Amino acid sequence: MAKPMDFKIYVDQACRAAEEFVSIYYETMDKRRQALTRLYLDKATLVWNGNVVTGLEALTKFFDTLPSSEFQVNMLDCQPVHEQATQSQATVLVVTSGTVKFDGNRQHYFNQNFLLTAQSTPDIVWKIASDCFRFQDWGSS
Amino acid sequence: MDDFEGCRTSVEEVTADVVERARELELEEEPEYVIELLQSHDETLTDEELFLMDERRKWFLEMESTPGEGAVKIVEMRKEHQSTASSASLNCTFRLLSVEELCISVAELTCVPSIPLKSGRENLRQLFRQGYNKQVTSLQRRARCWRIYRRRHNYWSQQATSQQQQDRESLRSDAHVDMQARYAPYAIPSCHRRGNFQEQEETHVNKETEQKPPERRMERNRQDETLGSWFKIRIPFGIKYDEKWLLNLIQKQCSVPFTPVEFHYEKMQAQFFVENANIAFALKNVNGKIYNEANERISIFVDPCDAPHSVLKELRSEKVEQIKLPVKEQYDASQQSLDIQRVRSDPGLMTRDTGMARNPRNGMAASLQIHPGNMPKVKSAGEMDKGERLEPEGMCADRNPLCTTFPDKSTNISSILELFSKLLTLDGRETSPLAKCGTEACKRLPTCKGSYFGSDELKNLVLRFLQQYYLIYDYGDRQGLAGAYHEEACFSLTIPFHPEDPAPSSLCEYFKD
Repeated sequence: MAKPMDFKIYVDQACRAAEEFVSIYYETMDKRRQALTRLYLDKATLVWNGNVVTGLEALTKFFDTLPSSEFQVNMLDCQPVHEQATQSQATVLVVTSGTVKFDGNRQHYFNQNFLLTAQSTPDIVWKIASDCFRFQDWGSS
Repeated sequence: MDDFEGCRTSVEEVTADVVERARELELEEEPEYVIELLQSHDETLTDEELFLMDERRKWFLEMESTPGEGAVKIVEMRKEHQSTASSASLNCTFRLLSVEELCISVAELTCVPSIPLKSGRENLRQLFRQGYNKQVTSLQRRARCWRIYRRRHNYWSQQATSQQQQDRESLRSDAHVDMQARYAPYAIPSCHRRGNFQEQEETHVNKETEQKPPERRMERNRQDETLGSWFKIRIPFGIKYDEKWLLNLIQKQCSVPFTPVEFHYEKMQAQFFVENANIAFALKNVNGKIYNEANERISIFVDPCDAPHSVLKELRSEKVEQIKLPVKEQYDASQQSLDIQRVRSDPGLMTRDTGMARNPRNGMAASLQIHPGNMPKVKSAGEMDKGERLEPEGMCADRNPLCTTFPDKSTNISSILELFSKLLTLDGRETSPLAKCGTEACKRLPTCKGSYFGSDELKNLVLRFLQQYYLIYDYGDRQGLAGAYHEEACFSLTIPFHPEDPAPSSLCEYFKD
């Protein structure tokens, strides 16, 4: 069992990584959409308002179909995921909330969670393994 | 030029009706007469003035055509501005103008450009048309005058005051007037006296003076032969009449039974559609033959038009069935292609009145909305349409004569690409992804769907868990929830914090210093 001190450091590290990651993610989404898929694992899955998208190719196509966006993140939460759950693969759960405006649509409140996992080769890079995005008012158009 | 503030309603009505009538007269090649009314825009019309307007209107309608004469006499009526508060009197000056004088005076007025004098009739016909155009634009600002052009020689007399006695000598009174009975027929509240007229007038004028699209012209020519052409029937001031009463009245005078479609009131008019040219013609003949309860004549105007919206919708849903078969037959399975042109000319389709021949767009919309299950996958289409649901992968736009509404080929192509976003080939050439969406606006968000579980197993697991969890959370002892957590579980909580409103919340102890 990890010592409390280690745990705290571990969590802090995770959170810092997550914060950095989130700012990169939304900036890329807004300004360099075509580069967004670089942040995803090859076999990552995205569930976007109930629409499932799996694999880089599908993700590329999907992000292409989305109009240009303007994200504002109001809340960010992150937690390291217990190694028991991830077979010792360092994983962080990131939960965000805020508002988004897609071109041609009205503004929506959104909630998003990512599971970030560390890919150690060649360098330690955090990539999205799982992404779940939803408008808070997804039920109404 | 001053800005037009808004013609008073009664004047608008009169003008609208008279203009319509004049237009019709012109179309019917009846002798025309010209009457020019100049009215100061600053004053309020009194009841008597309203009555006068009404009288003039009636006079126009009751006019019978007189045999053509060499000289055309024109009456100019000018209304003097009354600065006093007297509301009873109306000063009118009558003077006969010759055609030449009229043209000059008209040219001097700002609304109409000067026209070289040719033959009187032709010239005035031109003025008539031009007057409309200018009338519209001038009325959008504050115009000092509005005019109605008709050519006929007749006059009114009883409206003149004693001042014009000598003029009256040369005037003939034709109209039978009962001043008391027809007093203030247009009981329209003052709040409605705003620019309705302008818009109404504009649409009429634009219709008339714009170059008619070829379809329209064709339809007009085919009026008598083609069944299934649509016509719009308008009754000016029809808003005064109850629908049933009005339709009954018309039917009594109409030699053929008719079925009004989409009866509605639009501004001051009552409107409906009929589908048959013969019926439309019969209705046109009813014009001027029906009277309301105050014994005033009711006018009916008939114009060709596109099918009304409700019918188009109907066509799409009900007649889709009729189109399915020919579409299936024309589908070339080896090529996986459907030539829409061939569908249109399918003999089976032509025999049924699906409206495809008349307006191919209706048919296209209908055929493309056929459920994919009923139709093999379409890979090419010969025509574009806004209503389609199928997404062809290839298109041959070149062959289709209907794709000529755009000024140049590139606009045409980009429009096609916008409409058919999944097009892979156009005219045999591959479309580039960039060309697919000319503007961002064509990108639409994917539809939002409900919960996604990944698999049924997971679904059951998760739903059961959530059910238990929230049951305890809401109604049970929350300590029980601890059992759901791993020994080393992490828990994070988001607390809304408003510095402007630092009311203590129950969670405030969680705030860090």
